[in-house]
Amino acid sequence: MSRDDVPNKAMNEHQFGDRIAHLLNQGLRLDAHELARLRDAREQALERLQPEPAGALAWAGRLVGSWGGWGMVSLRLAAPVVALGIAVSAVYTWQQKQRAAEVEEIDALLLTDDLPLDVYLDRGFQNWLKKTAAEQ
Amino acid sequence: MRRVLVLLALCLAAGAVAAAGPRAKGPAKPAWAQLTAQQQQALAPLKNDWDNMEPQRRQKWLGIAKRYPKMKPEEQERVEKRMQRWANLSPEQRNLARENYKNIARVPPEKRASLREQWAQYQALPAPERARLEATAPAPKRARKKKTP
Repeated sequence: MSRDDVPNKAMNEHQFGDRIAHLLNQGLRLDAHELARLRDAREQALERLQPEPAGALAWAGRLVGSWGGWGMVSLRLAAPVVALGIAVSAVYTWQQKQRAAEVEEIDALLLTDDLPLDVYLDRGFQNWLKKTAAEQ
Repeated sequence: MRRVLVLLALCLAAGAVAAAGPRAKGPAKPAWAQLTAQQQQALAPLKNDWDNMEPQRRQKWLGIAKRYPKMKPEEQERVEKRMQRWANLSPEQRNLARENYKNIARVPPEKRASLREQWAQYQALPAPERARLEATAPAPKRARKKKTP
């Protein structure tokens, strides 16, 4: 395993830690030499540990790591976002076209209708129609 | 993180441009002088308003001009008479008329035929009565039924 293979290494560290925890749970007797080695190992690990990025940055960092690094980000993130953008604009354009076609159709019917425009424009007439319909 | 944000911003911008594109470009803005003789003849009442009209409305009128030669002579006459008034109405008034038309067009044909008669009856009402009707906000049907026996 190469040293810069970060995800695999992280997994092995987890497994290693689990094993230690398991051993500790069984009840561990350590002599002074082993304790010193453990302390050294812990100090070395702490020295190597980078300050943890906080909040969203840490989340994004882990996410990017799990995706296989920055190289894959463009593909895994950009592809769905671009697809979504295209889909949204296509639906929007289609809706606009449908609406325009509907308006053109109704306007053509209104302009050629055998009844005058006022039949459809006069609020009083519309109210009167509703009133007489309700009375019947 | 910054790269993710830049990427997101770029994608959103691309989407916005794609959505705005069809309206911003293309043959959406023919000036009156660019219309064909047939279009100019069909849309003659709109000549003075044409160059100030929004692109979508021009497209709609071009669609109507395309239908014009297929209309019956009496329909052509009505279109010519109504075109200018229709174009000068407010968008709200036009939408109201469209809604009313859709509601009336949905009723059965025999009721549609009686509409002319009802229009004549309404016109025969005294002017104050018509003004009162015009001022009444259309109430829900149930509430109205309770009031009128």
